[in-house]
Amino acid sequence: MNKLGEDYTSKSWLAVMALIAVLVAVGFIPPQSIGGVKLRRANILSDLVSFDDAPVANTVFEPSDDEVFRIDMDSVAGCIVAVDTIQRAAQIVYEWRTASDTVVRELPVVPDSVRRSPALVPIEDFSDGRMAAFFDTLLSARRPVRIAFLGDSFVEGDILTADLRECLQQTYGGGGTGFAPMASPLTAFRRSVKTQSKGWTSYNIMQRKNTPEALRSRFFVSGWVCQASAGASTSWTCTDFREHLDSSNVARMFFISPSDSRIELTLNDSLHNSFAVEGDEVVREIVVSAPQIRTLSFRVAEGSSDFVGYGALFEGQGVSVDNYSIRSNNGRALFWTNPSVDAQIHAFLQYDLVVLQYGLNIMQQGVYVYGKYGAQLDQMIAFVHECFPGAAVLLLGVSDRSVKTENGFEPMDAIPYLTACQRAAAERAGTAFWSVAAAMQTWGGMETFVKNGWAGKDYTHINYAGGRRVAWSLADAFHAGAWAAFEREEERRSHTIAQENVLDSLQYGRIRHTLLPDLVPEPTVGLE
Amino acid sequence: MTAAADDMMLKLQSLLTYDATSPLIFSSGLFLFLFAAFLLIYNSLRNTTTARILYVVLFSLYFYYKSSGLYFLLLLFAATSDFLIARALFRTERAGARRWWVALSVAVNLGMLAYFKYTNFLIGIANDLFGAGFLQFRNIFLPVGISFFVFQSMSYTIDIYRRQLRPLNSWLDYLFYLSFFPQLVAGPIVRARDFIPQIRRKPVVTREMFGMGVFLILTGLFKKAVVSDYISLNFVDRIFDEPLLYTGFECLMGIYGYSLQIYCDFSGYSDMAIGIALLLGFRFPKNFDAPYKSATITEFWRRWHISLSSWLRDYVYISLGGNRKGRFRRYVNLLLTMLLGGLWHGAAFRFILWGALHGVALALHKVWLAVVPGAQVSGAQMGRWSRAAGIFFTFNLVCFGWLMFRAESMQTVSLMLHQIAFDFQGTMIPQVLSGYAGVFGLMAIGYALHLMPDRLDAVVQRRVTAAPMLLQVVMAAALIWCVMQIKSSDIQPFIYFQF
Repeated sequence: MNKLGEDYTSKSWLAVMALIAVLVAVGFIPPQSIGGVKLRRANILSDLVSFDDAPVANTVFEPSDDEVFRIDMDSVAGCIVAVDTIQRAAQIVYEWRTASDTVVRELPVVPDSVRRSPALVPIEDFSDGRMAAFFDTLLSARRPVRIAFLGDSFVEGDILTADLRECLQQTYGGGGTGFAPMASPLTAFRRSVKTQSKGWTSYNIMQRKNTPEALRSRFFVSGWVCQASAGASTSWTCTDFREHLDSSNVARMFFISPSDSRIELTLNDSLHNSFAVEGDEVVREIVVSAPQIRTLSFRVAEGSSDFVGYGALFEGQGVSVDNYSIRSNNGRALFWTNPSVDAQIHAFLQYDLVVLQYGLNIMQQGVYVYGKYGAQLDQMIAFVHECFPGAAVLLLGVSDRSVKTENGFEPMDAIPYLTACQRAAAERAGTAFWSVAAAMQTWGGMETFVKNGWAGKDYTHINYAGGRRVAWSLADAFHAGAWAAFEREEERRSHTIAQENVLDSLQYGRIRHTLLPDLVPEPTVGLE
Repeated sequence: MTAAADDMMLKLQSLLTYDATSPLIFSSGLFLFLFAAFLLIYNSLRNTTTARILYVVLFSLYFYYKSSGLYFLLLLFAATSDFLIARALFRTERAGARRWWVALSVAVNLGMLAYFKYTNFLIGIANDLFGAGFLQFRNIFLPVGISFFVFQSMSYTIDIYRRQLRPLNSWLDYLFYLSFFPQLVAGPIVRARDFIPQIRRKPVVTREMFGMGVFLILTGLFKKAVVSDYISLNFVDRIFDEPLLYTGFECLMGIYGYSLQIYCDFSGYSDMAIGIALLLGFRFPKNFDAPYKSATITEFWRRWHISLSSWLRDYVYISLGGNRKGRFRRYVNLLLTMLLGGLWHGAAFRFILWGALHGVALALHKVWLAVVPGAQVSGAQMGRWSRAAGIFFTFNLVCFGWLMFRAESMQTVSLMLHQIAFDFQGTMIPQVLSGYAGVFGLMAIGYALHLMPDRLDAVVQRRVTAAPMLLQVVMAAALIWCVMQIKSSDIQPFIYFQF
């Protein structure tokens, strides 16, 4: 019998046993790093036997961009003090009203008591009344209530904010998609507004080194500056991606026109108007009010040199939620924005709440100490307080994220540590705090999100469906806060009414005098 | 007993009982241990035929139970039904009655398949036609591998109807054929006439069979657990989930990546099945033959999932009349066969569309062969350049088909095509390549191995086959170690790395 004809029937078992023996032995080799490549323990018995392999990584977070956060707050404050003067020097608002009546917000509103999330994760309020004041505004202001949502790629494309906006507008009124940039490569991804732009060159704040020198100092928290070429135009069309997007009745466009220019607007493809803008470095606003804004086109007809467009904001009489997401931003991009531009736009809009959603891209498996990031957060919050004076701040804790281990997917071990760091920063700065990871856990956590198709397979980013769940949790937290404000107000009102109904001696005397004017007043001792 | 031992017993118990979320697959650690235990007794039963058959059947049923729970009873039912029908069919002489028997077998098999696989699809169509809520969707468990064993069983009764096969005398033998665990859950679809003669033969594993088995298991494992699993999780899935987040280049690579993924996944698993069967002394026919080397679509279907395409040819295309009823009927038959082939892959319109694309392409190729002088069926008959052009064209056509096959909706298909056509962003290519270095590296290796000349392929195969057993064990251990490293490796972050 030649070698290849030999009978191997019984040798298969020997081979498999030898293989098992080798693999079991290999399982005892602990994890190690060879030439920078991390090698894990290859444990063939991982279903039965587990090893407690301590993480080899450095457990302290060391930021590489700390100098960005060392900003002089006094100079920021200086820029902002000058805003009043700048705005007084030129015409900054141009108005176009196509409706004869001014629409005001319908009141009263009652917070939603129907919970949509599996369990309430309440907002933790460490503020000295600013958050409570926001809830009062949400319930009783006759003007629009504005929320700026500053975040990273987790909310890019209006993920989460589209549904938060829908929930809040459902209960507290309002319509429209909020802020939409003039032009950006990412507009195609955003489903809550259709943007068609031509003739703009957009620069991203994260690549500010590639941005022309003159434009670097023009960034707003939106993260994009758009430089116009001759005839640059943008057209925004509302979609039916979520409820109320088509019920916007006010649009505001923001831009800087350093030299004289002429802007043409087309509303709902039928009405036209044009505005001659005198050259100035100040941020301008064109306000369009109409019974309904479905499509709006903005065209720089003349004077496009140095013209900078930011975007348009679509709102109704109620809540407006503006998505300002900057991909790969851990919060540091805030300091690359121009505080004056931020404050000038805030002066137009008067934001009531600024939400800060960061942290995903600094969190690392095995890193537990985030003290230095906490210090960076302090700076960020201080910066927001300076540029958005009067607005309450809600700091969001990091979202849930899973990592792959030999036993499958598990939540990243750093989540509780980073969340605690963020909560502590909120407490120090006196802002409100809400844990996104805790909210996602009530839905089953990131693994459930991926299983249900609510998050991407990087086990980090949620999609629109996932954003809807997180938004429901956040809206529930808002409703709970608003309920507390509503009950406080009810209590105050009933107290006032009760007081009005008390028949004290003075009122008794008054009534008696009205009914029986001729009677001599009785002594009131007994009633006192 | 200590708490630790108690804990381990509990883990072991849950590991060995039915769990729908973790079916028993060849690339799992558990299978290795079960297979070792299985082989020990299998070898000792070599000379006692019935005991060996019974033992293999019991192990196969357990293998099926581990993935589908009590639905192993369905397997018993299918085996019993066709075993009895086949005997009755064989005994019947009258043509009309014979036709009724075979129709009964087809009805029972397709009925099972239709109920478990297509009920909700049909309810969805009814709701689209008559308004939402017309019928309620039902919660139906899809027993693992039903599409495979139903087709296998039908090949048995139809062959007996065609008088190409004699029925088996033993029910146990038939159950052995239908439930044989290497091909049970994902094919290849082994024909009764190829398999039956091997059942009662004393299993002999030659050195050549052993080496070939090891080679197939190793290549299958590499394709399935290294290439396919890694590129799907770290690249392909996320692109198909949200095409608009990616450049046109990434979308195109997503489609090419998926083409490699589905080939590696499917053929890798088939290779392992064929390899394991070889170690038990059974020979299965080849199921994949480097399909992306095909220079025409007809050649592609001779190289891709051969056991399915030949099944469709023999039992659907030929039953419809094949090419015996004129040229036009031939094209219609091709199209119908491929539509059904598409539907076999899954209960959704996109699979039917995928089938239609291939059906139309096959029919057009037949027209091309008839009209263009010198047109050839396979690349081997062509000149070098026409072959290269043919491979390029066929590969891209097949990839376009995979796009429909994989995309969850037609909207995803149009978004992917939109990105490729209007947002290609060629300047981003270096950044994408470096950001996904691991993925593109594996893709390059995968395609290079696939396109390797047959001669070189044969040399490698011979080397691995003829290597000493100890070396083969070491190679297997090294590969499994790599698989485990990949399995627990960090997920490839999004290209921009920071979020």
